[in-house]
Amino acid sequence: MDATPAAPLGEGLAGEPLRLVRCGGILAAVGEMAAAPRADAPLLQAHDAVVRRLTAGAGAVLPARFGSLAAGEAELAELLGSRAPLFAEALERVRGCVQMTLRVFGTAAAPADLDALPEDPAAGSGTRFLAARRREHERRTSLPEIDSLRPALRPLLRAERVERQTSGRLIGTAFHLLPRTAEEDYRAALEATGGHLPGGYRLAWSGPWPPYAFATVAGMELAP
Amino acid sequence: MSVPAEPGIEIFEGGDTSLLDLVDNLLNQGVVLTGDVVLGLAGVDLVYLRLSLLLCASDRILPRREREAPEEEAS
Repeated sequence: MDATPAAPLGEGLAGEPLRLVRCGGILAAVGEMAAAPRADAPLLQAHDAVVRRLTAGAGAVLPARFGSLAAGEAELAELLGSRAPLFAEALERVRGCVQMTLRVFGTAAAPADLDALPEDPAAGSGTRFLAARRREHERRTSLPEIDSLRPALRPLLRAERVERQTSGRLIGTAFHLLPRTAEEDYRAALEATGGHLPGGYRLAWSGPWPPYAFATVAGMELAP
Repeated sequence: MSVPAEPGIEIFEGGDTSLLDLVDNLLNQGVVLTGDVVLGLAGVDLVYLRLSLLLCASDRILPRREREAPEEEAS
């Protein structure tokens, strides 16, 4: 977070007192634990409750992944402080926003026939490789199944992240970042569909969540 | 071992996605410092382990030696 919350920090997920550690231009709310927490349902809910409490009391909060540990304050300050400008940017993006999660079920639409696009015969193998990589990236991060919803959603969204699944009835998930004030309109847009979209797709949504899916910062998005 | 009759899918498609989203959000999203988490989900009735969603999450937090046989654990 980037400002001291108005309300007391309270306790962490194991009842330990929380405190703020300054890391460059940002603040981290931390609690001390003797060992890594077990990822079971009650503790996940406890973690979520702490994040929600902090989010309600502070201007902008980036949730840490459950169980994130640092060896001490110095290590934490180094880890976060060295990327402070990136965190500042990410904090600005989520300020005043909530995350809604929209999942799409059904049989995936046939991928647009991108591969059939004529290739420049003069293109070298490197160019073709990069073009193929780009197509693959676009396929993994697009969700054309909800295109019929987009005109209604677009004015409400500040950002969208898509994760496609490669198998099963869950086709993919769209994480939507929207201003808290737009939540009601977002819900109304989804409820107007009755949970169904043309093409036999079913929708399930949940939220509001703290902006978990928008807390990725370059260099810190993958587990080591 | 046979898999229960997809109750996870039913919960998921039935509109109550909150618990699954909780798991996804907390284990699969967010700022990462370390991956030092003990997977305790097996003790919970998390039949949703079949979902690639969760496999993805657990793949990120299971110790490497346990990643060798994720299919057996999940079925």
